[in-house]
Amino acid sequence: MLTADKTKKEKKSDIIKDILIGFVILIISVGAFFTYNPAGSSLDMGTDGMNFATYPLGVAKLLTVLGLIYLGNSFLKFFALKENYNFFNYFFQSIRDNKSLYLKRVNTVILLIIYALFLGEINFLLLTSTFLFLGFFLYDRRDYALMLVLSALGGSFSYALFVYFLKLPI
Amino acid sequence: MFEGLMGGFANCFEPFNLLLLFLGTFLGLLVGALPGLSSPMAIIILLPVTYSLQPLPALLTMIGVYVGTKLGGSFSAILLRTPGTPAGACTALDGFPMAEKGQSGLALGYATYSSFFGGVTSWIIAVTCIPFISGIALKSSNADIALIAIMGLVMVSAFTRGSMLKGFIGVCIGLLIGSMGMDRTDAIERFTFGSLDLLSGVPFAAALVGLFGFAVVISDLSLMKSTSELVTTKFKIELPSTFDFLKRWKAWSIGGFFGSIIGAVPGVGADGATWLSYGTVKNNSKNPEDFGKGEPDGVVAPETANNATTGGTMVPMLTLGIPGDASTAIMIGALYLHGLQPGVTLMKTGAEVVYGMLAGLLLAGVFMFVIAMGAIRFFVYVLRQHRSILFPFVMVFATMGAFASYNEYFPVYVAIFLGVFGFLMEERGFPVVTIVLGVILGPIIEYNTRVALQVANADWTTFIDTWPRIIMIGIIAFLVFNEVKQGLLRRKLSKQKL
Repeated sequence: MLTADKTKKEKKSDIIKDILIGFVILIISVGAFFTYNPAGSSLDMGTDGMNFATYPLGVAKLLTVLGLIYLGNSFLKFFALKENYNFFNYFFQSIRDNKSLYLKRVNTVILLIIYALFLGEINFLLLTSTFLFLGFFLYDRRDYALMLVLSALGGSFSYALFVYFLKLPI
Repeated sequence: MFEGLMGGFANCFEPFNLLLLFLGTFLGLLVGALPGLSSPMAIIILLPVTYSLQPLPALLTMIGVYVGTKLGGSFSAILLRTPGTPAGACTALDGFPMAEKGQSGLALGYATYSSFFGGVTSWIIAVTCIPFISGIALKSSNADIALIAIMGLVMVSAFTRGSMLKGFIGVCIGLLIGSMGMDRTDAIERFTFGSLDLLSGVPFAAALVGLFGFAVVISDLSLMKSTSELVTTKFKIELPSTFDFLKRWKAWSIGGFFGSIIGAVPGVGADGATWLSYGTVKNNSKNPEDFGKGEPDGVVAPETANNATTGGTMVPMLTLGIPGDASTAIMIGALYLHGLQPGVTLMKTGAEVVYGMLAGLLLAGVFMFVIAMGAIRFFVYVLRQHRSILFPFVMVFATMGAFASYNEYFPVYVAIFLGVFGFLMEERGFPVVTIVLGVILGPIIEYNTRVALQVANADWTTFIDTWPRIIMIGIIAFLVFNEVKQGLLRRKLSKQKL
């Protein structure tokens, strides 16, 4: 009984995620209508009966229609499941249950952004070694000696490959 | 054609090219063996290194990886019941029970033999078909090229996993991303958001790194805690006798046939081919009840099919510029990055590269066989290592892949953004490969449509004025109609269930 209840909640939770993705798709497609012409160029037709906006607007229209169908389908599925439960309670419970995984994902993105921001600002060897060390730490390694050796070796290898051998202007 | 192929082999036998092909195959086997790391990701890791190379050595390295991952996926499937690649899942059904019975060496032997055989079969088919198809494709006009590209997108949406609606949405998002930057015909900026960096569009390498590299790492963090308990401590490949292998002719011929054919259909991929081959062999077997309990045919059929897709995917990629799967999509990107124009003219403008790739495909199969035989213990050792060591290195190489495409930092930011976006889409069942194909094929569709309409004085009937074009439109309409019909049927069935 408990398993069946959990499955239903997971199903409903998935449908809510589908609805959210449906809105994201619509934001992209509708946003395209407002951003396709940033320079405000004139929309004169060429000899081919098209202009620079015909293609992206055509795609945006198609995406809007598809997004609406997807969103409509998701809403239909949502209302078809009659079980009531507090979505937010379930949502936060799910985050609590998978806290470690979510944290790893968010921290991975943050670590990548920091790495990208400091690329070129700090010595590549030092930056990459630090990035690797923090990466190992983030992914639950706690054998610090091995982590230090691996990050130093990895940083040196990356430096030799990208800066010395491939001559990238980092 | 024969002369071209001999020239291709001559190029491949240059020591440097041969070394790269060998190293690529080795890396492919290594990556394929590790659950969570896939062929596209391995090719992404190699991107920064291949920029500095000539087109052929760069592509040979990628082909080595592509071929190697196919067999590598079976190592973990047989020894761990955790397939290294999606296509390896089918091999686990009978490979793992064989290992449990103490026949792990024999199961690995069947997998290695079958993979090699599948690769050779599909190579023969690819070499036979490519000159013939490209001969026809070379005669196509702009309208034909636009329709071929649209048909490719529809096929990928239709045959890729999940619903066609999700496939179409992915394609449309890819088309929008592909239309960013300066319009090729009118030189007017689109979707640049006032950024000078976006004037030349979204950097292609950044899209690949983001969608196939970062997105996969973020997604695969869930595998971080998976344990690697091996079923055996005996790690030696025992090849079956030639007679025993020949006795299983039904399994390898069905696998080779389905793999080559399905590989050529954009979007289906190797996993579709392996399951279909497995099912067919099982249904035609005298002892179907043995399948799933360690029947060697259950290893031979999917492994032959898996490697047979390598030649199949090359056919649409090299003749029409339509990739058969994610790895060939990246190879198409690599062709662009090296200044070559994939598509119907590639056979004319880059014949040397095309024949070199075909020769490399066969040699990679030979290397795969030799390396697997000699280094299985090493692959098993790596298989047991924790993924926490690998992912940070993957991220460094992927970051450099984005950076090195323009020697600028902007592509790195784009890659991170697309990585997060790709992860969210993939989590909800939107295959990111459809987004990448939209990015690749979008500009081709727009440019060729406009040129075709200019030639035809803006007359849209130009797209239905020859029989091949009518057939292509018919195929597109059929695929869309069929999916709508299937969707309605599914809804009706689910309503009945409720």
